[in-house]
Amino acid sequence: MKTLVVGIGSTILTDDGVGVVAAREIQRQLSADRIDVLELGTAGIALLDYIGGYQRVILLDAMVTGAPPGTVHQLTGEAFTKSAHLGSAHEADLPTVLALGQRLFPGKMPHEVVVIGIEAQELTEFSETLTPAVAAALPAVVSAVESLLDGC
Amino acid sequence: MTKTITISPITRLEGHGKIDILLDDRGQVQDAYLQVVELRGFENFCVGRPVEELPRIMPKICGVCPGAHHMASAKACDAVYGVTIPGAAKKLRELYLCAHLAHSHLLHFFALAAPDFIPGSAAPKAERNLLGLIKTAGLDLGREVLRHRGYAQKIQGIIAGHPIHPVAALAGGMAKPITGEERGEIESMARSLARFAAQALDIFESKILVDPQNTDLFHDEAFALNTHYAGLVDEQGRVNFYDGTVRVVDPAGEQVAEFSADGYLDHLAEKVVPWSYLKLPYLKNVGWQGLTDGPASGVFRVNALARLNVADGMATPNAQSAYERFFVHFGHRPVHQTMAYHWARLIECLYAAERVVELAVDEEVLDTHVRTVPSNTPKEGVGVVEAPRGTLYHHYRTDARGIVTAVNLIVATAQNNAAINLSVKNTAKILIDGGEISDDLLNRVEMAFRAYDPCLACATHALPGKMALELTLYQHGKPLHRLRRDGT
Repeated sequence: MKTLVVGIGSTILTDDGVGVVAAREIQRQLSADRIDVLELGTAGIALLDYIGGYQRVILLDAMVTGAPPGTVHQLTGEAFTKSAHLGSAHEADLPTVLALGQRLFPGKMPHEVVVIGIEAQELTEFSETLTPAVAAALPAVVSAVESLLDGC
Repeated sequence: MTKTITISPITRLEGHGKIDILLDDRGQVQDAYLQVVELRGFENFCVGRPVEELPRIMPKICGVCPGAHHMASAKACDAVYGVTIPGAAKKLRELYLCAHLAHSHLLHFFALAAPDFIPGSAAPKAERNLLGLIKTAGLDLGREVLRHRGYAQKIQGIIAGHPIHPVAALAGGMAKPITGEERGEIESMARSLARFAAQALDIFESKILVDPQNTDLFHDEAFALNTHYAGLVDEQGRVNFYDGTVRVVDPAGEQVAEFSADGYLDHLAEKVVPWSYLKLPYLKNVGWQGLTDGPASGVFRVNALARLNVADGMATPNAQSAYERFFVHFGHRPVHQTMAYHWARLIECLYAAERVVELAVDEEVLDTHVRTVPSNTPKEGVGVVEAPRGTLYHHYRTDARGIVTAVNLIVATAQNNAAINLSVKNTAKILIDGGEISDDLLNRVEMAFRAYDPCLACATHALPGKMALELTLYQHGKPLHRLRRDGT
């Protein structure tokens, strides 16, 4: 069973796009036999269009927790709320989206949803380039996804 | 000595805005301000790029309404090059934008607005969302919401190359036509969407509007603002999202201006205030009288209610009937009740779906001539569309090579900024007495804010996030209470 990797964020706001950049890197490095890759601006209700039928979904997103920039976090459950884009003011946040999916489409939802958050440094300046510390974290994100895939 | 109540995001990532409510010594509301955090470097980011890149980049400044920015940007590029796009391209763009508005309005109503009424604003916070709504109204409704949201998004994807990251509109038209098979798929989904939009309207009219608990919200003068209104109308004066002229009416409903996109600077000015990075656009010819409503104030409103208020009607049959019911119900035009935005949004959702059907069955949409390659020397241009949240202006200047030298955007939420401040202040005045606040009160203040479906993302040229709110009550500069609410 394939895993869906979803990169979230915008690539024109410096580190905000790290989830998308990481997803592209994963697509480049890892076998398409094992994963599908998707890019989204936010993980709102649109996520339900894509995650049905996957056993596992890995969401990649920029995050601000106060840790050093480039720190790679791996989160589940309640910790979802710490992410930058796992929700939208105009729809629903990730726990609500997942709960909605379970209520409306039982049996089709993934068994496991993992969030890999990358600590961002700059999120308020327009740029298509990641800050060096955050760019340096990309190999660790790829490794984290590989570890999850190998662990199954 | 004043107290300050702050409704603010937990972090700037989560919405870039906060609301401060200032109380006097007696705990009565003195003032209210919406403040937003500025993101830096947007103009510099655009300057120096080929202008034809902007329709691809602009949608990324907002994950909430990328489609509207895509269209406004493409129209601005058409104007920069002085190119007239083929008829098929214009219809495809309008079809796309209608699907975009239907998508946005449907989601806003069911995910954000309806839960304030079903199960209701006094319900536990955990139930005031889509989950609470389907718990009350049933799983089938939930499935229908999601199915039709998906249809609206899929239609956008067929036209624009991707359901979330649109790329097909460009200077001179569209990058690709649609096939007969795609047209059939769009028509089928749009017919279903129109039926569901009518159902949503029925839920509003037969359940929410007639509920005695909501009577004051929809009819009490205290929840109204007597402002000017602005929105695009077609040649017959009907609502149009993609093209037309911007019509402005005064609080009595008299038309005071009608202008094309490139005349916007003659009619709109922006007030800079020390407490917000988000400027306050106002009607230049009426003037800035401060944060106040009334005929002498240049404060105006945009978005669905404004569009209905400025227009003479809707261009599709069922939406026109709904439009007539709307104004008969209130007995006057314009309608100033802020909560009427929710009703207006559903009427527009029905119009958008009906219009997609009309355009889908139009043979011209299959024409493969969808682009006029620009040949004039580029210079300057303005593109205007109606975004879900109101009129959206993109204004670009370039050098003779088409390299961007200046960019100006006036987005919908900025235009509603002054009115949002006023509505929050008025609502808080009614609800806050003696400085006492509660979760229910916080939600009711938010309802005033939410009626505008504000998006602080592109309003500050920023990104969307959750508008998580924190309300803090200050006395003598020190926080007394703090209430937190997550962003959904």
